[in-house]
Amino acid sequence: MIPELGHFALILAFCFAVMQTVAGGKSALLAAQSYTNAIDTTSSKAAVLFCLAQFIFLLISFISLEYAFITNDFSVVYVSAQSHSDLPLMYRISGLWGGHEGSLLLWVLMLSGWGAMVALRRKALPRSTHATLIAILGLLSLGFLAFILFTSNPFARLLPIIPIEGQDLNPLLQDPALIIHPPLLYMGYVGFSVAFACAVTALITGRFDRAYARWMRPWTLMAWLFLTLGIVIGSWWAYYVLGWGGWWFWDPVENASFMPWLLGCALIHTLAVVEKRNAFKRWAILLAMTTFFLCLLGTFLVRSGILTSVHAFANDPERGLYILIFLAVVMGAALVLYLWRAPQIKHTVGFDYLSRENFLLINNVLLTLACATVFLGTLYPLFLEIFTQNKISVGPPYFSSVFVPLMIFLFIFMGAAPQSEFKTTPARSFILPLSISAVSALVLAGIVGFFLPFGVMITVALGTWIIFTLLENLLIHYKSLTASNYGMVIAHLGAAVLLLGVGLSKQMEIETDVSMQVGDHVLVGPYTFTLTGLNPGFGPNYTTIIGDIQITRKDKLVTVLHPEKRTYTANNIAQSQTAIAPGLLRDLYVALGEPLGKNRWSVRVYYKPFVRWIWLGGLLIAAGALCAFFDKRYRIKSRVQYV
Amino acid sequence: MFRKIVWLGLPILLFFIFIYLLAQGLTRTPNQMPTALLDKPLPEFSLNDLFDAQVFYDKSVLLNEVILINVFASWCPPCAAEHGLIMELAKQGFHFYGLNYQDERLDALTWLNVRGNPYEKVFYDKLGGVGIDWGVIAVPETFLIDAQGIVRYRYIGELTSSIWNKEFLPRIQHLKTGVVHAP
Repeated sequence: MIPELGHFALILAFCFAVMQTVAGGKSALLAAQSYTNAIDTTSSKAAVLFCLAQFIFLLISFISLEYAFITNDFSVVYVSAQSHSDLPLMYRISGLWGGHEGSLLLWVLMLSGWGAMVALRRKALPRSTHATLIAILGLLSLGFLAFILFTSNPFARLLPIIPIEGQDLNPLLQDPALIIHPPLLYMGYVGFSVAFACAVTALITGRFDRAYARWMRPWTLMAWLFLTLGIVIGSWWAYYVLGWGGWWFWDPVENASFMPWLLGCALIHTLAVVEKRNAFKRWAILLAMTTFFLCLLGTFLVRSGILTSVHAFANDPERGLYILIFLAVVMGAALVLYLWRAPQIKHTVGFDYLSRENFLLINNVLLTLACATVFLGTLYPLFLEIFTQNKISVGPPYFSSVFVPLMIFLFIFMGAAPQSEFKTTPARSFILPLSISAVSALVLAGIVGFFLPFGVMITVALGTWIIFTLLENLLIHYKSLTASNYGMVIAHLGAAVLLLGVGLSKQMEIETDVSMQVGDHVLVGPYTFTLTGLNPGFGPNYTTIIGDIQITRKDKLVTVLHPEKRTYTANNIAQSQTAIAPGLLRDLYVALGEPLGKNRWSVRVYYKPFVRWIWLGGLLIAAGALCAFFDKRYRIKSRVQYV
Repeated sequence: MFRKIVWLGLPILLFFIFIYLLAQGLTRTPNQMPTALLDKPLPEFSLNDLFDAQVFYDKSVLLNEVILINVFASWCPPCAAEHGLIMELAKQGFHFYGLNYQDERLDALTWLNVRGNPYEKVFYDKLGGVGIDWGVIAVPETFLIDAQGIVRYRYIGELTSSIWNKEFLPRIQHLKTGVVHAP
């Protein structure tokens, strides 16, 4: 009964999306014809109401499916494929987004949630603009709702033979980080739909001014913040669950989330120029459109099965075809609209060579190039295969040789840019502080270079260069800093911390795989790892072998770690639980590999200095975005007046 | 005017070429890539036994029966996933041979010890040289070889029972009896 209710609510949500699009479109059209702000208030108000109704019915639908998961209703195909009655409640709840159908439902729920937020923030925009925005968001919802209803219904029943037991959630997904990783990532992906709708609306109305950019910024920041958190948590999960000690694999699906992140980052910076200087407008529109295009492309790549990846959903070509058609229609239309209407959006401001505009331009060029390299590395193997039947794989060697130099340039400019000013920068106030930072960073790196390899020296030089310039920036401007400025400082600091984490851990880590039995010890860096015991155990839905590994340094006990090898009883899948002794300066990482005979196991023992700084940096970047989001100037309630 | 059309048309054209390529990618079936060896004899090889480095095999051990060669490695998760099915099929009387590919001998032995050994013989190809001769692209792969040592089919990726029933079983029946069964 409840699943049918959910299905019905989903259909109603679809109907409301249709009505939202029609009502919003009608009110926008009338406004365009009358050339005044006198708008058909009935249909614009109706569009808002339909938008809210769509969200509420999707929420009902979502809760119904969640109910089926919590009550172990295995008559629902999707529940029986994703859940099991032994599964802890937490994982039954998150099992909903463990597969294609449910995660798509979560996706549209979020899409309509963003739409509802936009609908509620009606006062800040001219009504016709707002109505257009609502219509476009309605159209996007419509596309995804049709996708769910016609190809991926999560409420389909298995009747009359109801399975007694479910097939269980993939053990890799039974982890706290994986409860929140997909929702965060989807919030980010879907959030860029608002930026996309804003860009398309600007093209339709032909108006893209500073106030509009100011309105658009917090939405973009929020979407980007969620995407950042999603990626950070995904990377953290890979580090401690997969048991390989890696945190980024240049896997096609990771890349799919990284590409919109890079362009979204460029977009945030470009919108600053639009807001402050009324420049770079067409570029901002193009960026917003492309960012969302990459989000849709990511969805396509993951769900169509076109790329082979650890993230692959159970997939079928029909679904891929649907997303592809949707992608072609939405982005094709947006592109045509851009080519047709963008020349109307003009900007006529000049700026000096040494100006913040120029620095942000460089930022955009570098981030776009970085995104293009990832794009090439992700899709080239696919295209090559179509033309030549050759299968190749583009792995970390390509990315590290192409991506790293770009990032080095990015970090050099990142240090200098905050010191610049819009329009023109007096050379004196620019060169002196930067020289001080540069010299200090180089001296510090030189000292480090005596003890450690060249690559470490470069990393330290770049990281401290950014940190020093940020500190100077704070000292010079501390009287006039807004929340936006603090956000920038925190996010850039995060980037520096991330850079140090990546650079230092990559170049100083020690990874050893050894065969051990109880009593054996192994030396890794300054630490001694001793296997002191191996004990069987069990959990709610698995049996396990727990190792006791004692870690000592100079004969002093540091800690005892307990890596596990679990076997999930429902489907007999074995999985390693890594054990990590975390630290700000180093992680000690132990994972049980495979049994090599009686009481002998292969054990992975890793020493990873500064690895934690990677996620710390990512979190700081997100914190910076959050801080900027709370800037007072985005909270202006009164309607901006237009002619 | 012409320039305008080019400037407007080019991005749209590029966009749709991109979409077309993605659509091409959808229709592709990566698991059934034709092998250059299809309907040709399996190349000669000389490999030692996984269990006994002193014992060497060549192609002659494979002749006179319809057999399957499964390329596997202990470092390959899909190999572990398909292993249960291969155990089952071997029990049913299908002749599986293993090619242990770019692996450590000890790791491979442990791996088989834990999971069971469905293979009549396991050839040990540490350096992957034979894999290159055979055109092995990814592990796991499964080759179908007829009694004359001719490659009849090759599947890339994890073997599943539906793939087995759809692709392998009709071909094996055809090879054994000469009768074509509808899949």
